Amino acid sequence: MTPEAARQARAYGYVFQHAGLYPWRNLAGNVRLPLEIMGYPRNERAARVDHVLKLVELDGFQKKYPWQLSGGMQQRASIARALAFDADILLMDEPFGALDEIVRDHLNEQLLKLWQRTKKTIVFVTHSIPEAVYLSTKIIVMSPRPGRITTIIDNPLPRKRPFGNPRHA
Amino acid sequence: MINRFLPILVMLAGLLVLWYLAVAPMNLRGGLDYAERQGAAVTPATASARRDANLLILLVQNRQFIGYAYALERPALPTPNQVLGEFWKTTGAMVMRGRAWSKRSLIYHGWLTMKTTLFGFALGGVIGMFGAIAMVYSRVAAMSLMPWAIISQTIPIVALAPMIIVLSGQLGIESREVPKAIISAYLCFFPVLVGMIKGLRAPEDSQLDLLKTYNATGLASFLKLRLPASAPFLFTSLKIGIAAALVGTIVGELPTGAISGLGARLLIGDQFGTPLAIWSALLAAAILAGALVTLIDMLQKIVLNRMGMYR
Amino acid sequence: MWVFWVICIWFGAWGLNIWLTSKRFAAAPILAPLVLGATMLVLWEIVVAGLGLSAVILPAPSAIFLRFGAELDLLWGDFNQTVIKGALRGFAIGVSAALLCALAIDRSRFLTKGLLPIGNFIAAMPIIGIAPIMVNWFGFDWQSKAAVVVIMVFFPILVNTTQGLQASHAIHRDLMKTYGASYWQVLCAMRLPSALPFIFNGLKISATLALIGAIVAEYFGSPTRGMGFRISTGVGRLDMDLVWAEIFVAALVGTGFYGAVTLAERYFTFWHPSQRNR
Repeated sequence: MTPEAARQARAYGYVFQHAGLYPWRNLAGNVRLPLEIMGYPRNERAARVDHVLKLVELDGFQKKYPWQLSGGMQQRASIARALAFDADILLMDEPFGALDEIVRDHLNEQLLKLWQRTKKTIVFVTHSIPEAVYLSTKIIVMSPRPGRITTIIDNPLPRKRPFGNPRHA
Repeated sequence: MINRFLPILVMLAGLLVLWYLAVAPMNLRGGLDYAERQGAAVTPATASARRDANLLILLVQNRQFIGYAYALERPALPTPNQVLGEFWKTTGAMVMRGRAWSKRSLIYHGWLTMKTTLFGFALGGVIGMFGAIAMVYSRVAAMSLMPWAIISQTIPIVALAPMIIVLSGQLGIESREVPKAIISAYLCFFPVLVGMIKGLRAPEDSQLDLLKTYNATGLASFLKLRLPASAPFLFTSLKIGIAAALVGTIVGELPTGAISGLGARLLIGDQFGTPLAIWSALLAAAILAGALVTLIDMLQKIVLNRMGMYR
Repeated sequence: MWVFWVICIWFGAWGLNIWLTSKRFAAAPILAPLVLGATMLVLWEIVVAGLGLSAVILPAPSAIFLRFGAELDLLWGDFNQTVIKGALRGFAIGVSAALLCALAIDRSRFLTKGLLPIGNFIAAMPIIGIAPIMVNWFGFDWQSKAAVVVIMVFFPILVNTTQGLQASHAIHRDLMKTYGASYWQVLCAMRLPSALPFIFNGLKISATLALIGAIVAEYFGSPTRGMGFRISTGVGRLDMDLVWAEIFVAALVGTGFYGAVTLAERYFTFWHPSQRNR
């Protein structure tokens, strides 16, 4: 499958380094955006929006605008936006890179829970080795410029990982 | 370079072609009237019948007379070369005959308009800059004056213009320049004020704090930080300001029987029904506007270069 | 004696404003300019009376307001002719034409690169000068005034909209790409909203230009009504009360029009950083 075809088939959801929420839409509106573009029926949209906002623990913030929320909450909303339509794969490009350490650890913990609830394949790009180890089942190590795959490591950690600060896990 | 200018040149050429094409329908009826007077067999034969006829049909029926539409003495829409010809007649040709300062020369009128514009621009620029300094440093001034500065721009100055001219005449100001310069300054001070306020507030808190740690005086932090930081903003707004000053001058030259300046040329051309004079005065005004804005632009490049701020 | 009062009132009012603004009342941003405006009116009245200026030179504000009240019908007729027929129709036509034009040239990079600098250049020109030509083309009635307004408002809107349509963030564009959105979806959901602050910028410039254009065009010929006509004939007959009453109307209209655009801006671009926390 070519990248273009994958895009047309809406095969993946994408989470960027920055949340990239539209400031003129409230949270529900932002999460609804891909559903509108992909032509989901009107009555299905609201249910999906509420469902994914619950998944990322942002229930009750539907009417808030992105600029009224913290960076961590914005990033969670952008994950909800990527989950709203049923993409097969979730691509996350350093999604928590711009956030501070504490928020980042917390979001990583939540991401693991989310992964266990949704059972989606997630491709997660990071520069942090602890983050990679904590989150993954399989780690692909790439070389800098030119980007080539150097090693593929299967992560032996059990699927149920203790919650808490991942650095002490 | 080619990448930047090619699209502009193509568009300009396209606009010029459109202009030439538009001349035929715009001047057709006048051209046919003229052809009829010359004894040509025009269909339909009378001017009143032509007035009722559809323009397109008229154009097709009389295609052999289209040339007349391009050679009228008083066209509704002159061709670009007619405009250029008239412009040359009232500028370059007069210079060659040594009559550049004749009252019929556009150089004379353009010079007067430019002088007033620069006068008004200086006045408006100074008011704008000092107003901005006052408003940045005084809360009272900012709160009480700013709304009125905004309202002053929403009042159409052209309504006030005749009043300003009469009033300054009654107060014994003989010069015709002064009221025009006031109108010009009225339009020009606002963009300068807004740009300068933005510029003076551009330094970040950390930069201001740094100067505080040096125990710098208010004057020093103004001269060394706020003023230089405002320079790029100032020049951008000066460009808008000088264009506005020119509009103000031209508007000031319109009413109460002014006889000199490009605005007065427009009015006189209108009263005497000589469209070519109007168009060439417009061309002169456009050239003047372009020159003045370019002048400020060059000044901006030089000053910002010296200050190491040019991007 | 009156000079003393002028000085007293001026410093009294300024002192009042210093007190108002230093106390950080919520209403200070509204009260302070009102105090200043009222002071100026009172001073104007006193100076006119004190210098014994004749109404031919400068009428007192009270005389202007009395005349305003007495000539409501006439002023309404002029307002209708100049503002509603000339300025507003021209504004509506010019703005819609510029928006459609901006959307059209935005589809081609070549057109944008060619027309944007030309539009910028023309926007700096004294376009007002085409008024006599428009009167020649479209006659003395409101059509010629609307035509001047159309051309005057066209370029600021065109330039601002074109720039606004190019102003979206890269990340916002990338997101639309990952959804495989169509041109119109991208336009409606992302590019138009992010262009709105720019469009309103153009609208605010155009709002003041519209009135200027409509009034100036009347200097070059108009039916026997209209604000510009009334002002130029009033000045000729030294009927200054009426001229000032007409200026008062122009000020009200100009401020009201600008205020309406500003309110619309606040409503539609509440999310923009410049509109938050107000």
